[in-house]
This record gives sequence, structure tokens and C-alpha cells, in this order.
Amino acid sequence: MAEPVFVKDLTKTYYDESRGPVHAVRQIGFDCRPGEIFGLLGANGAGKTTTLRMLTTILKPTAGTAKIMGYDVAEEPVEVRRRLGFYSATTALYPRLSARETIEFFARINGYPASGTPARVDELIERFGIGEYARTRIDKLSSGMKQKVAIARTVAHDPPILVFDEPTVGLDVLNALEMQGILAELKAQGKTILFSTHIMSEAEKLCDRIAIIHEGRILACGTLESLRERTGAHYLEDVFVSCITEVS
Amino acid sequence: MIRFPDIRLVFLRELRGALRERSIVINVVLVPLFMYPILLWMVYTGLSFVIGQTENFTARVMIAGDTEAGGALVQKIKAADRVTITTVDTPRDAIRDGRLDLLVELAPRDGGYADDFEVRFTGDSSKDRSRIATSRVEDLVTRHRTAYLEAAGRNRGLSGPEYQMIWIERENISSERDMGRFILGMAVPVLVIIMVIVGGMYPALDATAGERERSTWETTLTAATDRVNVLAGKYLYVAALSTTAGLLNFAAMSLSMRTLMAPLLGDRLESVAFTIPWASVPLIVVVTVLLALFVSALLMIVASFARTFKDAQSLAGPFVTVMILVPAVFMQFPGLELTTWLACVPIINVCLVFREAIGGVYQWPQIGLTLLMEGLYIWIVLRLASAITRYEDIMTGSYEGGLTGFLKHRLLRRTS
Repeated sequence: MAEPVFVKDLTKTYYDESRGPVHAVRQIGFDCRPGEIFGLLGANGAGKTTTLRMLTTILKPTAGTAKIMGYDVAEEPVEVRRRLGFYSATTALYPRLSARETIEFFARINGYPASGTPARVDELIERFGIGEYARTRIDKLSSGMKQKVAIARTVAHDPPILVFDEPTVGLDVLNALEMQGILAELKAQGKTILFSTHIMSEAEKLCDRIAIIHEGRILACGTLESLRERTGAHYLEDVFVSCITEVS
Repeated sequence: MIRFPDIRLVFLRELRGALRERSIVINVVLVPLFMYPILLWMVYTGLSFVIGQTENFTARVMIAGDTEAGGALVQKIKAADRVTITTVDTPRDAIRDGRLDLLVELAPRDGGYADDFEVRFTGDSSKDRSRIATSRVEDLVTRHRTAYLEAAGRNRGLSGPEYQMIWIERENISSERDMGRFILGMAVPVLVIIMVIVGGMYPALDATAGERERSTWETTLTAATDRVNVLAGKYLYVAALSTTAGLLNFAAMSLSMRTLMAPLLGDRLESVAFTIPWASVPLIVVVTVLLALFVSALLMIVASFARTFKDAQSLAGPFVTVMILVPAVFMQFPGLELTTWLACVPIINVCLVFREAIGGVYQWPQIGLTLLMEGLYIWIVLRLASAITRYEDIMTGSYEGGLTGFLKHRLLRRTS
């Protein structure tokens, strides 16, 4: 069986009118194993979001390979998207649709069978406690409610791989904790989760393996223990600083 | 790969959202149904009031020169309705200042005839009052001369018919229906075209720049379908709303034209029947759909370079103005017909087909050419759209230039 996520020499260079060519991601490589939470840890502008956008086929890689369940992100983007759910703090929901309509739309457009969609929507509404406001327009919901709907729409087609780009950015402590609980629960269901963050404690708490990304390069990758062993530091914050210092 | 179920899903999602957006519903449904008919009624009512006021004003006329020579004529002018005789020191200045409408100067002519005299009118053609005053007094002079000639003829033994010699008869062979179609053809096509453009504008900007502004564009891009399906769904949605706005306006204008024209036509309204030939309706629907497809593609292309709805409005503004103004101005030319050349001019060709279809005139070669050319223009615009969407930075909204910059630096450079 193909690896859930396989990345080799993945590169993204784009042209900025004012800055010229910008090397956002430089020949990175990693893989994700089934049922694990893999964290991309890096400061703002490190290349986390660009990497995830390439894996979710929003951006096309300049060079290198990335495969999701054996499907190449550049060659078979639709097959890739069918097998993953993408959640980002920067992506919003359609404000004029209701929560139920949103989940239904994403289940259907992502290939969930039409006959099973109503039951799947009900299941997700029940699971995420959306019932009370399932028929309310998204623009009338609070940010906490929207977050639940956004997660429900991400998993609507029951994909084996989930990509979360800084999912707790902008959330208050309680909602952030709830998000972390949901990630742990999805992992328990056997989903492979690729997750980016710049919050050390979050990565430390949730991730089975972590890749430290800085200026478009992966500086270190492994379990928290292996990273500790490699750097001699205990806290992830220190591990992170040690890796960056080593390079510079 | 094109998947119709996915296109349908995107189309329905956009439509559902649009029907919950007040401004879209206003622009696509309420404005075409009510605003233009009401607006036109107000304009026509105002116009008929102004015309009435102008026609009924009293002209201020000064008579100068040898008033003895044309004594009978002077008496008639003085006795005329809506004419008052006045005297000023400097009549030309008074006419320029608007204090006087007309100066009538009488002078005997050298020729030996006792009743022979010259009438000179001095007025200001740039002033409505002066032009109408001149016309009124000139009419009086003509009637006075005709009466004089008739009397002179009788004195020389000529009877009325002998004197008249030429009898002019006028017959208007247009039916009540023809007159109605002529009036409909003058007003309806331009308004419908305006509605197709205006009705498509808000959805086009909302489905592109609006979605980017709301940060839902990236969400849409993660949908597991080919992007061509997403774009096709959005495009068809914009074109559907644009067509709806146009056809609703067409129906509203056609049904309410009698009421709209009542203030302007007055008693003549009875001799006009506002009907449209049923056989024209399919042709009207087809050209409206084609126009909507063309306009929607163009507006979506322009809006795809904007990051916010407001940006998109600024970008689309000049395009919309040109698309509305050109046919509006063109259609004012009297006698403009659908020729082979005009059948190749986008938007104007549709306007002319529309007008002729309302009048029940079908020039099939030119109509066929119009449909063909509109199809060609749609194809060109869609090819351009397809070339634009291949650029990732435009699709994701990170491109910082505009449409002209894009055409100059990317498309043209690539083709050269």
C-alpha cells in the first residue's frame, strides 16, 4: 500500500513583481505514516503553508515530487484532493450557506456517494454538536461554531489524510483545546494528519513526528525523542532554536 | 475532465448563495422588473409635463418697422393666442438675454404692389422659447398669405379648387401594431442590454473577487473536481443571472409599455398596439443568452484581477460604461439597420437583431452572421479566460498587476 504522504526534493519558487524570484520551499523531503500526526514546525514565513498548499494541490511544485496515497500532486490533482481534507485558519466558509448545506456540498463535490450523503451529514452534525445551528447561515455563527463547521466540511467525504494548516491560529484557549481534542480523536479513527504550527507546545503535545522547517528547508525530522537526542535539548523550543542556530 | 454533476453542484451552490444576497436579488430581479419601468414612467410623465409647459407659454413678440404696410397681419399677430406684444429698447440684446422671444420687422418692398411687404424674423435658435415663438408667428404669416392669395384668386375668377391645383393627401399604412412595435423597438433593446450587463455584473464580481475577499476561494480550490468544473459552474451561474435580468426586463418593459407611454402619447395611445410577435421570442431569448455568455465571461476575466469586490468594481466600471454607452449611442442613429458589417460588431449586432425581431423583421443571413459572430466572440473570451487561469498567481490571487499588464507582459510576450 502506498504511503499516505511522500515528499521528495519538493521545491517552490515563485516570481514576485517587486522581489524577483522567491524560493519559498527548497528541496524538502519527508513522509507520513498511516495513522500518525506529523507536524511541520516553523516560524512565520518558514515555508509551512506553501508546502501544505503544494500537497493539497492549490499550488503546483516548481520541482520535486509529492504523492498522496500514491497519487502525484502535479499529475493527478483531483485524485489527490479526493483523498484529503484541507483545513486552514485562513480559508473561510461560504457565508450565505447554512452549516448543513456547506457540509453537504463538500461531501458531494469531493465524491462522497449521493445516497449516503444525508446520513453522513447527520452523523457529522451530531458528532460536532452542530445540530442547533445546522440550518443557520454561516455568517450568523460565532467563530467557535464556524470552526466546528469548517472541521466537519474538511472530513465530510471521510478522507484518509487530513491537512491542518495552523488550525489554532486566532482561536481562544478553549477553542484551541477543543481543536486539539478533535485532532487526537481523528488520529484515533486512523486518519493520517499533517499539521503545521508555530506553537511549540501544540506540536509537542500532538505530534508523533515533527519536521522543523526554516527558510524553506527541513532542518530536522523525527520523533520528539530523536530530536532531543540529536540536539541535546529537552524542550521543543530549545530543540527548535538549536536546529536553527546549527544552520546559521 | 469535465463532470456535469460537479458543474451542477457549483452552479447550485452559487445560485443558492446569490438568492440570499439582497443586492444580487435587487440587481437581477427587482431592478429589471420594476425600476426601469417605473423610472421610464417618471421620465415620460415629466417629459410630457415639460412639453405641455413649453407649448403653452406666451411668446413675447416685438413688432417693429412699417406696421402700416402689414396692418392686417399685425392685427392678426396681436390677436393670436399665446402671443403678447411688447416693446424694448434694444431688441437683439433682449432676445440674447431671454427677455424677448422674437422681433418681427415689417418693411415695404420696391415693386409697385400696394400689399407687397417683407417680414423679417429675428430670434435665437439656441433658445426653445424663441424657436417656438418664431414658428408660431411664421405660421400666422403663412396663413395670412394663403388667405390673401385665395382672395386675390377669387377676384380674378379662380375657384378654390382651381387655385389650389395640388392636393396633398397623407396615408399612414402602418397598423396600430406596427406603431407599437416601432416604439418598443426604439426603447426596449437598449434597456434589455443594459440589464443583461448590469444583471451579470454583480454576480460576476461576487463569484470571483468577492469570493477572494471572503477568503473562500482557497476553500473552493480544495474541492475534488477539476478546476474547469468549478469555473464552468461559476460562469454558467453568472450567465444565468445575467440572462434572467435581461429577459425579466424584456417581459416587464413589453407588458408595461402601454402604461409607460400613456403620459407621452396622450390621445394617440388608442392608435398604438404594443404587441411583440410570438415568433420573435425564441430569437430574442437566443440572442439574450449569447450576449449574457459574452458579457459574463468578459466581466469575470476583468474581476479575476481584483482582490476585493471594490477593486473589481473599479476595474469593471470602464468596461461596463463602454458596453452600455456604445449601443445606447449607436441606437440613436435613425434608420440604423442590421447590415453585414454591423452583424460583426459585438453587442450592437444583438441590439439590432433584438430591434428587428420586435418589429417582426427577420434578415436571416444577417441574423445567422450575428449568432456566428457572437459565438466566435464568446469562444475568444473563453480562450482568454482559459489562458489566464493557467497562471497560478492569478488563480490564487497573488498576482499584483492588472489585466493590461498581464496581456502585455505575459500573454503577448509568450506568443511573440
